Amino acid sequence: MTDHDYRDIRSAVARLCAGFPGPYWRGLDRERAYPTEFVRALTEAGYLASLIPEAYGGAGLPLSAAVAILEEIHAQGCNAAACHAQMYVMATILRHGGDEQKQRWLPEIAAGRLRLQAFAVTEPTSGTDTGALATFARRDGDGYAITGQKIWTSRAEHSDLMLLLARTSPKDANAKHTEGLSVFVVDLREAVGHGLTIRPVRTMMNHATTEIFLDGVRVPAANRIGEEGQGFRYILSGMNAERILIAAECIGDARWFIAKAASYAKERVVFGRPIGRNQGVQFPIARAHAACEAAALMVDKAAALFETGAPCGAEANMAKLLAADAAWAAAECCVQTHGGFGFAEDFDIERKFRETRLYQVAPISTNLILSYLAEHVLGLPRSY
Amino acid sequence: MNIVVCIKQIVDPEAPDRTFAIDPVTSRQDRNRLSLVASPFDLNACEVALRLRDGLGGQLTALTIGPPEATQVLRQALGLGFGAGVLLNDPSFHDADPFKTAYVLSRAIRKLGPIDLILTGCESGDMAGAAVGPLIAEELAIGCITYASRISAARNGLEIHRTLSHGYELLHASPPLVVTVISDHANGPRLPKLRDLLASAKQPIPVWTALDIGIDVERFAVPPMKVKECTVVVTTRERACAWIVGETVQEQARDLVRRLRDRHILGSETRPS
Ligand SMILES: Cc1cc2nc3c(=O)[nH]c(=O)nc-3n(C[C@H](O)[C@H](O)[C@H](O)COP(=O)(O)OP(=O)(O)OC[C@H]3O[C@@H](n4cnc5c(N)ncnc54)[C@H](O)[C@@H]3O)c2cc1C
Repeated sequence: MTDHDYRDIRSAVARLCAGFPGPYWRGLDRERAYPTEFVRALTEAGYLASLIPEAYGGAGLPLSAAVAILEEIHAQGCNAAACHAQMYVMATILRHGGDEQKQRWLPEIAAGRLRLQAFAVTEPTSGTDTGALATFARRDGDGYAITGQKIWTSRAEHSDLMLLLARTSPKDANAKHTEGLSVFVVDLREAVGHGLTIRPVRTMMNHATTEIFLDGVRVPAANRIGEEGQGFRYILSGMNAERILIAAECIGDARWFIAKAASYAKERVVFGRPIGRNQGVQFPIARAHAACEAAALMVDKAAALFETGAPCGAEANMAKLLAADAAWAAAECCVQTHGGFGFAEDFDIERKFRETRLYQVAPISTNLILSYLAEHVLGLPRSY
Repeated sequence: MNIVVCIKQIVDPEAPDRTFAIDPVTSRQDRNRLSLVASPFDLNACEVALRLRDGLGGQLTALTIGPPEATQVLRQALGLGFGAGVLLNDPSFHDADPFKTAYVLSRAIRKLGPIDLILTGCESGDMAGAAVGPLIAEELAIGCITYASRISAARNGLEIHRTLSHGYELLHASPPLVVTVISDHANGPRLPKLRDLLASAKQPIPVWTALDIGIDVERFAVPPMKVKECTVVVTTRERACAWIVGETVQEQARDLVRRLRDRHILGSETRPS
């Protein structure tokens, strides 16, 4: 595709999304149900395989194309959180997996026959401090026996494979806490009921997240990605892409809120004139728009750097920070512009408002981005 | 089976009314800055063609007359699985009436070689003339079936499901044939696959001019166009809200009737009961 905006892809995505309007999402939200039909449509059209190289049956597109796809989904009022990880979790296999592993999994993932969209890092006691995680994979013949607990493992009930970060040597045996961690591909189709239990966690929005209990779950050594003990490095290398893609979703959300707010402000008449004629109503929308467009530039910059292979940790983190803030500010002004109607389920605003709040916290919280920038970009002392 | 689908690019009919404007110079719809889309029935025609091709095999070609940006609708067809698309662009094609449009399309169809089926939307999403399909049939001196929603293979030809106001009729016809297509739950346009979309973006789209399709430009001049659009007007509707007054329901009813009479909505002989 030659045009940088991916206009054709965007309009095709918009057409797909038109088949999944507000009532579809509202119904799911009420039931806390998974958007199976929506995910199937995205899968069948090939969007979730856009980043997989053509050699493995994917579209082989650059990250900016995935940015366009996710942003458009959110700008249309849909939500890609149910499946976005299918786009990027595979990168750990692609970058650090062996040839046999790539052949075994990537073509199946590209064809949509295999879902790899669960990513188990966070634990109840480790939180943001990944080096503190305690789930342990003990070597056992030609495999590992894994015991521990994960939390917030999203989409585990809707995934065939799960990427899992576990300790392979005790925390104290290594110079740094982030050493001695390894990455495994757990086949959930085999593991569930054989030591692995998935328990859904209900949250304030419809997000298929879970907690996972592992009790001696057997994983073949052939499912370990890369070298033992190097897992943290492998996970980190995929995080920039994740940050940029989540930022793209936030931009989409922001654009949706701003469009809603602007159109309502033009139409709602109070005191005999459209409320949008009052600067008190206009300015927050205009400010949200400016913040959204600025954040979008940072997303583009981070994606462009990522595509050249240049370091982009700072830009990817800033993109996530600015875009999540822009989406949240836009959500806030959209609710305010709608007055009471902002709270009515039928307007979809309160739902999107709950959904976009997540990105202040996950996949990395705002504070941690700020401390990253302070330490690694500005050279301030490490605070934790 | 070789199928041609004629697609018109129009201003998005879903666009909000307030974006609709008439260019004061040309008296035509101002297309600037508006989002342009393929006319909806033409996409139903594409779907009918794709289904026939999926079943019978063959070649699908999309044709459009328009400015360079109209290649967008051809790319859309390519993204859905069409094999080729051709843009017909020439200064002499401007300001076409349905006769001229049908003439230009039929010349291009002749150039494509033997075609079994030509599909168009039953009418365009902007002007709704419903004439181009039948006029192409006239130009090519072949049969025409209008308002079809489905086409399938039948012995010795095609079975066409034609929509009527209270039902449908089934027709058998043999190619070559022009069929105009109406929307139906069975012919909603499919969604493109990302791979086809990417391939379509790279596919070259030939542009044919009047000369390329052997058009007799004279024919556009003498005799003059059979139909000329003089002007297009957007009518505006004003809405006002009036309060019905009165202490009691009876008084309010009387007030309402009086207002309706004043506006000649009720005749003066009508008595409130
Ligand atoms: C809906 C949802 C889906 C998720 N999906 C996944 C998933 O699929 N896979 C996965 O592995 N994880 C997932 N997560 C986990 C998510 O990444 C974590 O919630 C997040 O990293 C924060 O960890 P925590 O919740 O333990 O908060 P904590 O680490 O306990 O932090 C709590 C608060 O303290 C702040 N804080 C902590 N340390 C510092 C510090 N040093 N300086 C300043 N502030 C600090 C944090 O910013 C935060 O605001 C998900 C979370 C949610 C809510």
